[in-house]
Amino acid sequence: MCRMALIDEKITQVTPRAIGRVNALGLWTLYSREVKRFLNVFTQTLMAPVITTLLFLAVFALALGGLNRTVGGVDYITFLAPGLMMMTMTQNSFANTSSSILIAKVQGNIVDILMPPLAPWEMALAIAAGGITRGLLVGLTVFVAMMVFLPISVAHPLSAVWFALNACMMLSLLGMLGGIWAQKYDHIAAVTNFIITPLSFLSGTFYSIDRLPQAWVTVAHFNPFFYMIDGFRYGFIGHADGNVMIGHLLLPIVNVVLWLVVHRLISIGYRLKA
Amino acid sequence: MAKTTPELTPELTLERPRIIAVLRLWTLFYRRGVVRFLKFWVETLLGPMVSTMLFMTVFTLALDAGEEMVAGLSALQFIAPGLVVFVLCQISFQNVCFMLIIDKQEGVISDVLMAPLSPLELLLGYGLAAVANGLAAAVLIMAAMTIFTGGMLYSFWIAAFFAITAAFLFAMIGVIVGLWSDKWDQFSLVDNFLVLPLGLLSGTFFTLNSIPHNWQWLFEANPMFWIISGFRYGITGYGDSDAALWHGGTLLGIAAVVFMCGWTLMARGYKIKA
Repeated sequence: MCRMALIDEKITQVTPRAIGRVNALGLWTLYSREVKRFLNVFTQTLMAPVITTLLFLAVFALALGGLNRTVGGVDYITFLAPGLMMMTMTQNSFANTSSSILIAKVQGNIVDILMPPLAPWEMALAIAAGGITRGLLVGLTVFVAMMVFLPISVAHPLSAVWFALNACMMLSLLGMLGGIWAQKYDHIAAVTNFIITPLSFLSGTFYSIDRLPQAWVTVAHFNPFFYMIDGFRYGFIGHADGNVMIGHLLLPIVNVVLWLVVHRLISIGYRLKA
Repeated sequence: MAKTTPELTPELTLERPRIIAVLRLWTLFYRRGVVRFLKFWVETLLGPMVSTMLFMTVFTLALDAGEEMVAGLSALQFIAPGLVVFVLCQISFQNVCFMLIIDKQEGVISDVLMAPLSPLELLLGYGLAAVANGLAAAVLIMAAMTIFTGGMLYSFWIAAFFAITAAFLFAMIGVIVGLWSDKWDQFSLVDNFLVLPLGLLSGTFFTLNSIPHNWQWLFEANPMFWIISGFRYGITGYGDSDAALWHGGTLLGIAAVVFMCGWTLMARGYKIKA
């Protein structure tokens, strides 16, 4: 009885919280929820990608690096390492936001995100930032792990960071689009298997784009994934296949467009609100 | 009613307990297992096919066209059989884990346990459905691979032996892991840190000659290496028959041991019966 009274007293003391232009507390809460969600299962979300990437590096270096093959003026393994890093980062950013939204939808706890006083842009920002955090964290871990085995030098650190940040943001936003659109796990698996993985595999992670037939080289120059991988690699080895300036500008533009789409979808509650 | 009941009862009691009843096994194997993976053909058949094709495309572009890897085989012809049989093992393993974990989580497993199925029928019903999924995908992938490699078949029986033994072995491992997993975490732990490394570090993509000499034993001790070299011998004729015989026999032995373990666990109702 005594305890109940205490609780009652506490409840009556709660006053409405005034929210200004930005619900900073709400934003932070949703963001930390997103981060804790993947850190909770870090063996799957951090360790597994790191191990897989290192295995890929070993396997491809052994399979393709023979005969002192060089690509773009550097050893094959030096060429491959940034590409693989970028591939892992983007896949994890995509996986984080898409699975977060889809699981919330399937389990029905999306209402817990929709009900609080969060503006659509705050909701979008918190979830996207969660995906970016996972992508960058995985990328950083892979980078450190690779440093143990390889003499990695970074030619243009700022470019590398710029491309990493933009790429993670792009894939986080794409993941949100996927998560909002999908209604079953099958849908998102299909998007991952048939769109995201092929794009990240075929856009120059493993080979110089010059090796493609001429028609495909032209196609590659319209592919944001290509600029993403190429630009990030430029940050490491200082050599790019495409025009790095275009890449520096193209990715933020793509991100702004994607952001507007995601924001619009969340505002109207497309497949989120009944 | 009063008349029919006495007539029916003796017939029902007549059925003697058998170790394997074809109808029961068929129901679990076909109606539950095969129909299920055919229903999700996009993930169970098309997905693996697309990702294998991606690997082949990447290798085609990253390697010099028609480069000879070992005597008489181009790199693509060398890689293709290994890739197929690795995917076969992975699918068999994943399929049976998915079935068991989903059935356990959704509580459907009690329906299966209530039915008059002996432990052996349970084990084979789940296991053989996974084997069927693996083999179906492998045949499809093999057929699609002919785009890259041209038709190849050295000995159908050797290839079939290794494919079926491998699928069975990994299905049985999958049964054990599936029974043990309460959550997806445990499954993905084994998938990411055991099955994938075994498959990638097995000589699918490179010959042992490219490995430093004092590390070769590590690859030779990998069962996946035996599976892959045996299957490759059956498909391309590369390798020698003594090694294939030796590897095949050992695999059969391991499969038998794992099968007995699976049977024991099913009989005990490990984590599935209260």
